[in-house]
Amino acid sequence: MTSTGNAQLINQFLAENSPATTEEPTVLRLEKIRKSKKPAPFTYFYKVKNHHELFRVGQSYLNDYNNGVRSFAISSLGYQASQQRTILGLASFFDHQDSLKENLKIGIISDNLFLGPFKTIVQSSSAKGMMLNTSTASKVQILVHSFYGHFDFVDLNELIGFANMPDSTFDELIKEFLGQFDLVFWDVPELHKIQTERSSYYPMIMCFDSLTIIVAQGQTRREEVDRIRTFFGGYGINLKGLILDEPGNPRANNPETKRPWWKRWFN
Amino acid sequence: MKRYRYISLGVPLLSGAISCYLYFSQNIIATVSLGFKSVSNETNSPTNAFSKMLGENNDTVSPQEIIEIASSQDFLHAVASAIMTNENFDKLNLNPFSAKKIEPSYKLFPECEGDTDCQTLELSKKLKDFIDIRQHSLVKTKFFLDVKTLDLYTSRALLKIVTQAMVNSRIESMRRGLSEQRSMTHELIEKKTKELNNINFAKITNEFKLLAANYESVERRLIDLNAAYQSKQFEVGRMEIVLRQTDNAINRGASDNDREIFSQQETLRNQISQMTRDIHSFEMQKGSWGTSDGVILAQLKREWRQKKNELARLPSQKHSVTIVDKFIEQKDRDSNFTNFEYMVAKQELVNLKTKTEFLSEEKKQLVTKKNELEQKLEQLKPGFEYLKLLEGKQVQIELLESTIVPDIVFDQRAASETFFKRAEKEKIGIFSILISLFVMFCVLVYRYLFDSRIFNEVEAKRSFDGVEIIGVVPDFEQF
Repeated sequence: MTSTGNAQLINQFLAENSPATTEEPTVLRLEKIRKSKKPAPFTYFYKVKNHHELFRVGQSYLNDYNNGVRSFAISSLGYQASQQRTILGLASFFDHQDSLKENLKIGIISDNLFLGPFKTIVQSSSAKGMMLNTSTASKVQILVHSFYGHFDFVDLNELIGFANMPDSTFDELIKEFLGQFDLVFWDVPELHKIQTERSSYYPMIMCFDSLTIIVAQGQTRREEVDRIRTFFGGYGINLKGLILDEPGNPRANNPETKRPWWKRWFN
Repeated sequence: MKRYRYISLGVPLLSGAISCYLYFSQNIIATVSLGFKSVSNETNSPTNAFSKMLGENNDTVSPQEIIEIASSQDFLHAVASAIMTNENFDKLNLNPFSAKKIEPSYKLFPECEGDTDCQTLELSKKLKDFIDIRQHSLVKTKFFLDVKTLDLYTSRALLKIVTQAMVNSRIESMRRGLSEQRSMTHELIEKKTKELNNINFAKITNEFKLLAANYESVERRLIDLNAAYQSKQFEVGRMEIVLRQTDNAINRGASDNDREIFSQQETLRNQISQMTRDIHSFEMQKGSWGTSDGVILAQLKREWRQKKNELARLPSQKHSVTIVDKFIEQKDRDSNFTNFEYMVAKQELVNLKTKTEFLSEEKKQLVTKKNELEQKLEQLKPGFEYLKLLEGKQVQIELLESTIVPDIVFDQRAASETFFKRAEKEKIGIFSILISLFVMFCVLVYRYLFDSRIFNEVEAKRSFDGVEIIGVVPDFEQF
């Protein structure tokens, strides 16, 4: 991987049928490549096509980070894949900032770890339990998928599963959990899910420092963006900005965003 | 269009599909065309020729009127009646062009429930689609009658009925026109006759004729009198001159001086004559002259010249005083008779003048009266002439009415028999393209105006003023 960000290496995983593949040598090799600044000699690499745009986007978030913002929420109108790609791009950007501290702990929290772009990476990650101490309850263990020490994936559903704990304990748990990371990216679920279980998601929403909405060009409507903005604005979360998605990316099939064909044609 | 590509593609496709469906779902229409000629404007038209012979300008039918026959309600009703009474009515296919199912004729008007008048009326409404008249593109008097139905047999049968109906219609129309003209002329004649009777036109005419005859008689008499007066006046003038000359001659007579001169002249002439003879005698005896004879002859010649000069010096006298006296005596005798004649002639001249003046006065009165009557007749003359013309016209119209010949002549054979669909491929294609373009334009405009989707960074900035557009979602590729 290179440090310039022009060709961001995000992931490499070994072919499942490769008998010589082990976790330890891969990590070592990745670390070695990163430090030697040589091109990775692996078979599968992912490279950012629009690296200029990633740099532009990443710089904006880096400024916020330098200003003390630690928790970034990325939302959209059903474009989960775009959300995940944005988070991966940003996480890689931060991971490779030499100006930041050496072992920057980046957490990615999503309810779709095994779907979309996250899937391959999470599958290549090593799962381990994270022990959290709360003042009122016993110790709580949360499963964390760590990708070679670069970033840790946490299942949001698991986190929400603790919502039945007393409010104060859950809030404390969330804070304790977030304290484990230097930087957290929230892959925000679709709005209708949050609205259905508003109380469960409330502690999570309150952890957002800034909200970014992904706008699919030619698909997302003004009123839809306004609805998300208004919803999170009700919780005091300011809209950081909009990230435009290229036209043609698939949209999640959910009842909220699905419109009858004649409406899609005429409005 | 790129933004709304589905609509841009969908609308023309939909339009095309509908057009195809419409084209292929049409019935095939059988058309029979028959040419005919309007001879109403031609000199060889029988009715026209007869009209011209009578001096009547027959009304002509314009091409537009002929074309409009096909849409005339009366005509269509007449055709419908003829169809309804046709023996093959049940075999005719009178279904509309858009019919999905072919029904027999008797089932076409279920709402009429067997009422013939209702069926005729309904059929006449349908006939508008079946019958068409069009003008030849080059020959103004040439037309084509097109009959279109859903089968050829019906088209042919209908063509026969329509041609007969057209001929009947034209004859009826012409007869109606002439009949109206006749009744109008009759009314006008009655009205005009009444007017002329009221002002006693005949009496005025007779009076004028009498006056004219009287005037002519006076005129003739006046001419005769004038001639007699002129002649008499000439005669009187001549008599006056004769009398005056006679008086002058009597008064003048032969004077003493004249008588003396006349006597001297006679004496001198006698002396000259005697001396001439003597001289001549001397000259004849010239050889035997003595010495004194020559002196005597010279003496004679000297005296002869002297007398000749004296005669020449006296004033000349044409007539002898004796003759003048005889003439005066005769004229004096005649003058008594001439004077009597003159008195008589002068009296006659006065009488003639009196008569002429009387007749002139009478003539003047007659002229005044005649002029008055003439003026009156001049005023009445147009009315009278008009009446005469009307009477002539009535006769002409009656003659024309009894000899009407249709002013349209149909060809012997049908011009063509064609089969086609109501909407042609080209027409439906062009219509489809135009409609799809229009609909597409409307839909695109509507979509653009009411589309709240965000298509690019500029629109995003415009829609969310103050919100940062951070960038574009990172995209990855595998290599």
